[in-house]
Amino acid sequence: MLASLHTLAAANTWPGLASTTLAWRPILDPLDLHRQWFFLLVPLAFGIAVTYRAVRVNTFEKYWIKTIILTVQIVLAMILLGAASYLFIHLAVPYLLPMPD
Amino acid sequence: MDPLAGILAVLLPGAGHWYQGQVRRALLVGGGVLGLFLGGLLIGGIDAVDSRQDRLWFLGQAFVGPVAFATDYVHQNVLRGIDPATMQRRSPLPGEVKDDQGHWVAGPAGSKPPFSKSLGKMNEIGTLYCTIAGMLNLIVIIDAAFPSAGRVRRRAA
Repeated sequence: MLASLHTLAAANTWPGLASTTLAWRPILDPLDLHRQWFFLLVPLAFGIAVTYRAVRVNTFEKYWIKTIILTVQIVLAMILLGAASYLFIHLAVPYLLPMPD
Repeated sequence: MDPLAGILAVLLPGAGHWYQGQVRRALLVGGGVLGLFLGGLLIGGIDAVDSRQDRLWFLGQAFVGPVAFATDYVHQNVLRGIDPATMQRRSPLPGEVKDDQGHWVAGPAGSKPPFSKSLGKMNEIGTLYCTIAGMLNLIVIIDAAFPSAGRVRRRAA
C-alpha cells in the first residue's frame, strides 16, 4: 500500500494532485518535490547544526564556521550510511543469503 | 538547576535561555527549532503533525511545546471534516469540500479541499523535520534547566 502511494505521488498520478500542486498553499498543501527529496536533507542538517552548536558552544567565537562544519559532517555521514546500506543490500545480502535457483 | 528556565523553554523554544540572559543563544536555538518545525509544515503540509495517525512521531514533535499542540489541534478539529459514512474525522479526498455541518461532500468540478493530505517522501520528510525540531528542543530544555557549572560561573562574573 505504502509503495503504491509512493509510486502514485512520484508519478503525480494521484487523482487531483496535479491541480493541487498548480497553486501551492503554504502549510495546507505539501511541496511537490518527490523526485528531489534528498536536497531537503541539507537544510535539515543545517537546522540541526545551528541548534546543536548554539547549545554546545561556550562562546560564539567561530560559531558559524563550526555550524557549517557540522552541517557538512552530517550530510557526509548520511551519504556514507546510504552508500553502506546500498552495498550491504546489493552485495552482502545476496552473498550471505543466495536466492535458490 | 533552573526549573523556571526549563518551563519557559518548554513553553517557547529559546525562552529559557532568554530568561537566563543569553539572548544570542536564545535566538539561535529558538530560530533553529521553530525554523525546523515550520520547515516541516511547509514541506509536508499540516499533515506532517498528526497525533492520531502518527502518534509515535507526535511524541517527539510534542517537545516543541504549545506550538505543536496548537498545530495538531487545528489539523484535527478545524481542518479535518467528518466522513458521512463513518462519522469519523478524516482528511479530504481530492475534490471533496466541507458542507455546513463539516461533512465531506463531493465538490463541483475543479474545487480544492481545504487542505491536502501529504503522501510519500514529502510526508516522511515533513514529519522528520517536525520530530527532529522536538527532539532538539528537548536538548534545549535540558540545557536551560540544568546549565553547566562553567556557564553559570561566567554569567555570575
